[in-house]
Amino acid sequence: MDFGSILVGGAVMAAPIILASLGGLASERSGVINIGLEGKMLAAAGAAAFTFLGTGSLAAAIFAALAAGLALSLLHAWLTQGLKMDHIISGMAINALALGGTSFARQVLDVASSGRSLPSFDPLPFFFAAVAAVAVGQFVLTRTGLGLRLRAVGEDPDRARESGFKPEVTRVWALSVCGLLCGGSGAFIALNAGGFVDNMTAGRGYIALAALILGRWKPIPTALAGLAFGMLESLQIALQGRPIGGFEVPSQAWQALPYVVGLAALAGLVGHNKAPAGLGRQ
Amino acid sequence: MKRRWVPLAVTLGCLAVLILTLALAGQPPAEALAKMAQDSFATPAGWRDIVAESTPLILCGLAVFIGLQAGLFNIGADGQLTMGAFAAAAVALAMPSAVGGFLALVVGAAAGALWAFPAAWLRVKRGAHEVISTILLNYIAIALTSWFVTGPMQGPGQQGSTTARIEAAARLPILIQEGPFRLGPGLIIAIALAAAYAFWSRRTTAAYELRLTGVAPQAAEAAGVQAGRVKMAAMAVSGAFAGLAGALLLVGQEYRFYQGFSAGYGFDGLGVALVAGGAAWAIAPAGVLFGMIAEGSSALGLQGVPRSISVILLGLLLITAGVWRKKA
Repeated sequence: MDFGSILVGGAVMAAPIILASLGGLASERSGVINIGLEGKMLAAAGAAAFTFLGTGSLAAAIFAALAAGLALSLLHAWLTQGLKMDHIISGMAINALALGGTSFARQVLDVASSGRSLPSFDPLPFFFAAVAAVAVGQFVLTRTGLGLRLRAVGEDPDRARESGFKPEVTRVWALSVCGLLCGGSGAFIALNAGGFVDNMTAGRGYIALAALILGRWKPIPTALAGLAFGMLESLQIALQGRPIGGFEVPSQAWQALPYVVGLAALAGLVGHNKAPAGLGRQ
Repeated sequence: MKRRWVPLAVTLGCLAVLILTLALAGQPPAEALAKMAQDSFATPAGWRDIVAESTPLILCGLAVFIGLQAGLFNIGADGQLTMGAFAAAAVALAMPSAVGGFLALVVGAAAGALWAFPAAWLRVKRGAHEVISTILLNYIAIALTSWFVTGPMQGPGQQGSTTARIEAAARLPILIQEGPFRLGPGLIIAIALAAAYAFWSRRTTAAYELRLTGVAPQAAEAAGVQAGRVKMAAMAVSGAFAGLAGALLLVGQEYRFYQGFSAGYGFDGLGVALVAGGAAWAIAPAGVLFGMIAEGSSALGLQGVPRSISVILLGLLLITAGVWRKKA
């Protein structure tokens, strides 16, 4: 077992989780609960894979992924801000549309018959891009008027309204950023896997949400939690099929590890729930 | 546009998207739907499948509904159903008798309750949102049970990831068998429980406290209701219904537990509960509606329309129900 390759693997696994959790952060700090990260990532993964297999252009594939993430996010914004729909119901609706829609598109487009395959690429720069996004996110959130407005709207939409802000408008922008970040995350997942299979995000959107909660809705702690989840995933792959102390550990135990750790970490939050006060409010 | 027309417009928009999706699959929508209706709703085999699908859907709908009454989103009905079915299989395999079959239902419900409870506890005692914890518990349930069926509980001589089949003595009886149509006690139990819940929720103080906790937890506390306890109890009962759904599927229909046991019933349960709106009596009809959707999409699948259209439809129904819910 090579320690260095586990670290590099962990960074690569963490990149999409960090990007998505940052998207979730933009959304939730503005007051929109975002269960829909999973669906936005999945739709973007599908869009990237199908577009590449259809056109053979990597640029077009990435553009399609960003567009898919953005489109679902704008739908999310319309449902929660325009129609004032419950945030959890609309998030689950987004996830269902993405899960069904990508599977449907895969069968209808029959992309497997194009004979193309996705290019291999070095995934590590993606990790550094995610790190850069965290730095930008931290700066914007804490040092700019934009970040202040985002936080004001998310903490107390009524008072923000009295101060002349329009919470709905700020949230549409926050959700757009969220959509683009989920788009990048999904594109990376599809490209790194070399294709699309149904439900290929496999709960990473929810893991990103867990990272956001564990990171107390702050960019750097959230990214660190995302990195920890990536490392866990890399570690579980490296540990698959290895006996520990002569005991054969079942592969499912390793697969469950990130979820068990996530749950245990939630249990350890003891009164430290620092959710934005306006979360879910209109 | 006047505000009150918005839900109707959204509903029609969702319908248009559905028809467009059908057209994209290369089927003339009207013909495809007519053939689907013929195959699903006008044949005994179609109704057999609708009955089979409706049973877990009603119970999962009831599970999500009870959680919502207490202000909790139980997104984990899938995991609770999986644990319920798994526990039921263990009991029915160990006790191949009618008593074992009955015990399997009880233990299945208990397993579902146990799997839901940590999420409520985390919410009440730690402030961790139940949506994320129930989803994490879903993945843990899948990993745990898939280990059992590929390892210690894999059926003897089985190649796949499945337990052995339970003995005929432990299975639920079939009450009516008419050609391909078949009716077991499962659907009757599900409808009876939904009706009992509707009756309970109109007649008791406990039901009032449950709703008060969901709508205004602080007011409930001020009025002497222990809101935290109510939430934990509601979540446990919610999990029990989902667990029972799994146990009934196991001893009434599938007769063995296998990897990937739940076909997304828990997520459809959210749809059932939302389509029922705030009305408990509407859970059973909504469950049957979702059963018809499941059967209809199977029929469409035979015509070459990808079955995932039912998941798209679930998304559209969630949007529709969500818009009407706001107006209610």
